[in-house]
Amino acid sequence: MRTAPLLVGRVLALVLGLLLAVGGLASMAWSIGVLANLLAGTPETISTEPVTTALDQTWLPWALGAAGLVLATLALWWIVALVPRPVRHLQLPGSDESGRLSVDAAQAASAVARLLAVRVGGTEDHGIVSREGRTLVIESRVRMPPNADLHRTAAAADETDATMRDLLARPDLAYRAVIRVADAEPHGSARVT
Amino acid sequence: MTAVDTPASRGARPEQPTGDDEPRAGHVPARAAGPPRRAGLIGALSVLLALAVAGLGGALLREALVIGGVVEGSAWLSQASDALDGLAPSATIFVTGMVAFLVGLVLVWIAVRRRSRTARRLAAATGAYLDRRSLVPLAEAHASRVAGVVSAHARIARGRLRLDVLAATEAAHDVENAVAEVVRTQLDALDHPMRVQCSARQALPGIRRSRQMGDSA
Repeated sequence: MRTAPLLVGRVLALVLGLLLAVGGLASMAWSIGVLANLLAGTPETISTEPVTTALDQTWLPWALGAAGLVLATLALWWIVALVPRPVRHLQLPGSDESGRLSVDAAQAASAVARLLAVRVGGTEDHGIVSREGRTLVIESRVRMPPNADLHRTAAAADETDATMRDLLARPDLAYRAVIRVADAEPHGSARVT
Repeated sequence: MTAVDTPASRGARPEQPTGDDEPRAGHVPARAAGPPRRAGLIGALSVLLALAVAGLGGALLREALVIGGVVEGSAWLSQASDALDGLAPSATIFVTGMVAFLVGLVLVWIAVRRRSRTARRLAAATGAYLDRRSLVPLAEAHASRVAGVVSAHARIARGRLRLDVLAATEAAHDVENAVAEVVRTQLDALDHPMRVQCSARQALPGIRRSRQMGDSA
């Protein structure tokens, strides 16, 4: 998921949470009569008179309609932004008016992941291309044996990055290698015995 | 790694674990992607909130059309206001308030929670990350290969890696140092190396004595 829509969610959740918490606390205090001691002028029963008055105003439908339209539009933008969109094709240099040269993004990412897996002496989990904010990220997830050298692993990631750049000639791509250790033997055997 | 590798394709070398971002001749510097993150609770909550906001927008539009007389029906707003009017304090309101308070606290907690980092960055020019849970098996595997180690158990506590090692020899202290050194060398490859603490004890310390007793019997 991208960052901006999550930030919107965070702010909204915070505001809504605070309102709910304060409102909940206030109604608890009101229902046991504590609120009347704290705040002078606390009503004994709820009166919805202001709402009834507002319902008779001629501007109310317009205001409600405008608010509804704004909320619905924002919500639609938000939902669309929340849905992760997979990158299907990577355009390669050499594309011009006469034709487009592109590569299947999943295949390319998978090949890069396999290359990294070979270099760390492990196996490929998966490779994907995704859009994160404004950056296209090509990600390789691989497993390596637990006794692999971490310095060599880091170097292998750099080498794979360089190879990927040579092959795809897309300097704008960002690379991420996520390496995990294939489930180590000692753990399991220690528990069994 | 051998010297056969072309220098242009090399990033951080094993002997230079601090990473080097200098652009090399004829090579576009790598654009490292940020750490992998899970969307977590805030991701799921965002989807729910987005749907709720869409629903609220739709409801407001309906109210506008109903109150404006465009659409037949009774306005939900006036129904709600009629239902709430004249409400006096009751146990139901107390319980509802309590539920709202708790839900509000949960929302605030989800909102301020940091998205979990699932990996540690390696010292490399590109974005290379080691899965968080991989540190322990990695440290254990490297510790186990040190001469004199019977078994090694690692755990991470307060940002440190602690290793408990069973040593085959009486020189547990030497084994301790050797293991710490080997593991520390490995963790130097992390962008922010961790502190390593190792404690070793001798496996079956009574074994020599009991064998002597057996001999004398």
